[in-house]
Amino acid sequence: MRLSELIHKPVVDVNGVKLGFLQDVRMQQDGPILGTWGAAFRASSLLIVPHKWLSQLGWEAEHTCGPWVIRALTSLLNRKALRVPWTAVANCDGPTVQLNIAQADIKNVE
Amino acid sequence: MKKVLSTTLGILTAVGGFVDIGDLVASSATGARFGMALAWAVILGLIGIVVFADMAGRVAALSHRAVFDLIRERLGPRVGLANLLASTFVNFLTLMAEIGGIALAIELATSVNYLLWIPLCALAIWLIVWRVKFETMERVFGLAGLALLISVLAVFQLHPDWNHLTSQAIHAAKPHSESWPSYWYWAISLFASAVTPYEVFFFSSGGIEEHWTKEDLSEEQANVFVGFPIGALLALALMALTAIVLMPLQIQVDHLSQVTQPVSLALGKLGIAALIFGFVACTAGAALEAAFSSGYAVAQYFGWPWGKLQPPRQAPRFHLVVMVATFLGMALLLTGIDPIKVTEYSLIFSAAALPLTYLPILMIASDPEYMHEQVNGRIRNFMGTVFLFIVSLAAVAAIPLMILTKGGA
Amino acid sequence: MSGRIIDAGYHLLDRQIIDFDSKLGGKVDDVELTFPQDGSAPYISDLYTGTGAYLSRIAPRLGRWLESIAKRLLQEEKPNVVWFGTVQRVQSDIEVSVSVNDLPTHRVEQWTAQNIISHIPGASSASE
Repeated sequence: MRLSELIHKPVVDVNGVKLGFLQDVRMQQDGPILGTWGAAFRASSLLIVPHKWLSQLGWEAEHTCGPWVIRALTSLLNRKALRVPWTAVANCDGPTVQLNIAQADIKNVE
Repeated sequence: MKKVLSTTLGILTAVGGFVDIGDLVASSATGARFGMALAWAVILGLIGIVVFADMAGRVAALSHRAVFDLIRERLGPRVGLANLLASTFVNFLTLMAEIGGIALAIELATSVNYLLWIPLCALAIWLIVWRVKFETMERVFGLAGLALLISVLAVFQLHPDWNHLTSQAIHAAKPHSESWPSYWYWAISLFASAVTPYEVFFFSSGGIEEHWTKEDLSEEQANVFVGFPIGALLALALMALTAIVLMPLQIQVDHLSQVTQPVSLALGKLGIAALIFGFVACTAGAALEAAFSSGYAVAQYFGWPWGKLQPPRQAPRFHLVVMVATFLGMALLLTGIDPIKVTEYSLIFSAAALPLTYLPILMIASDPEYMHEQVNGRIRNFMGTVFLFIVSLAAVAAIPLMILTKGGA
Repeated sequence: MSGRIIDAGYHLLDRQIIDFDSKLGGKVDDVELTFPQDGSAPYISDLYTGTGAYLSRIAPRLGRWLESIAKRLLQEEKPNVVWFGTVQRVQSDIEVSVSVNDLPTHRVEQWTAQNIISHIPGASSASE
């Protein structure tokens, strides 16, 4: 599956409640060995944000640099962002990314 | 002497922004209609381009990455593509207008119709991009463009009423004969022409062609703080010339030849010769800037090899883009389109594309991953934010004003 | 190198690819995630670069159609793919261990060079 198929896909919890859009997938280097690279990057968590248009301005949650005004605005607009471990993903093939836990049970991970 | 030579990139870039064919006429035209009342727009534009070119230059020196490369990285392929299409459109219109401008300037000197000069000018521009070393081109056209300093001499030679001129500039009052929409349309035109994105594409890519590194930051700053003010000075001198001579007579400027009248009055035939030489050098410099920027924007967006650091065979698509743009520009000019009207329209569209060009630069200039320890300090960030706001205002107002005033009539 | 953490979209997508000689070789247009048979988390196996992959990002249907044509014309299973095993370094750009001549974007550069640029005098020499 291509990364571009995942990014900006709507994310729903186990009850079908919409949580936001998938902004990015965090990777840890603990996958199989690939050539001269070493351990492959493996998905560890995903970032869910309320507005997908923000990243189109380069105003991504967690990676925005710039003047104080821009950083403050980005934090404010992304305050409801969630980071969920990849183990919580039940299915990402369809039109949405379905989680296997309910919204109330989500605890943000690093 | 070496110090002067090392600022030629800045001077050449500034020439394309402040005294290309569009500005030669716009500065003169606004001088004849508004006096020095719109001088503030030129100064504001000067501060704006200094802020952003400096940031783009620092990003180039520290990260060795050029502007359009970074625009796609930060804004993504879709918004980046929208920006690329808008910027390419403006680059192309500018290139076409400047080639026309060179031909118009040569017509002034030879009285041979400008249309006949167009194929020669287009060929010359392409040949320079194809064969001439970047540094050589930068030095020749940067220094030749300084011939336009004759206009500053002409202002003094006319012994104007300095109090009257400065009072006009400070009060920035709209003359009774002009409407408010017209006033703001020309203000935005002058401002937008000073901060056009292709200047930043050219300056930052030029810095990479010059192999700038962290050690060259002082040279980069000299380029910005010497080159751009010289450009603004030239624009203001042309504005003053027509403000002094033509405004009292209520003569409007709509042809390049009228711009020579005040200089003829002040310095005679030699003055005009220097002025026309300066016109040719500046419009050629601007044409080269636009030609390179056409190639830079497309190649950097797609990640293709670009620039003069390798023989053409190793950056084929970059050179193909420049070739096609030059040829198309030449072909369209030969249909008789007025090059000066073309620049006026391209300016307004470039004003609309400004915010999305400068926003990524402002953000990356604060990103330690690219800038290491040279991230923006408080002052740069503050100025960058203020001017991002100003260019956004200009972007929103530009097209409605153009429609309202029917192109500044 | 192991143990490093990145954000796939932020650190990889739309980044410049360079070869071991610092020559420019296109942008990362997409990233392939391989899902292991055992149902564990997917890992990054390849990078996509080239017109087909780029178009698939902007206009998915047009892009896929172009990619299938490229596959048939070039007789290659994966015409726009760079295996992640060749990546040397992931920083503000992505360095790979292969030469730019072996990267997918080089195909069109080569075609342009051979069929258009080379016919113009001075194409192979450095500037004066």
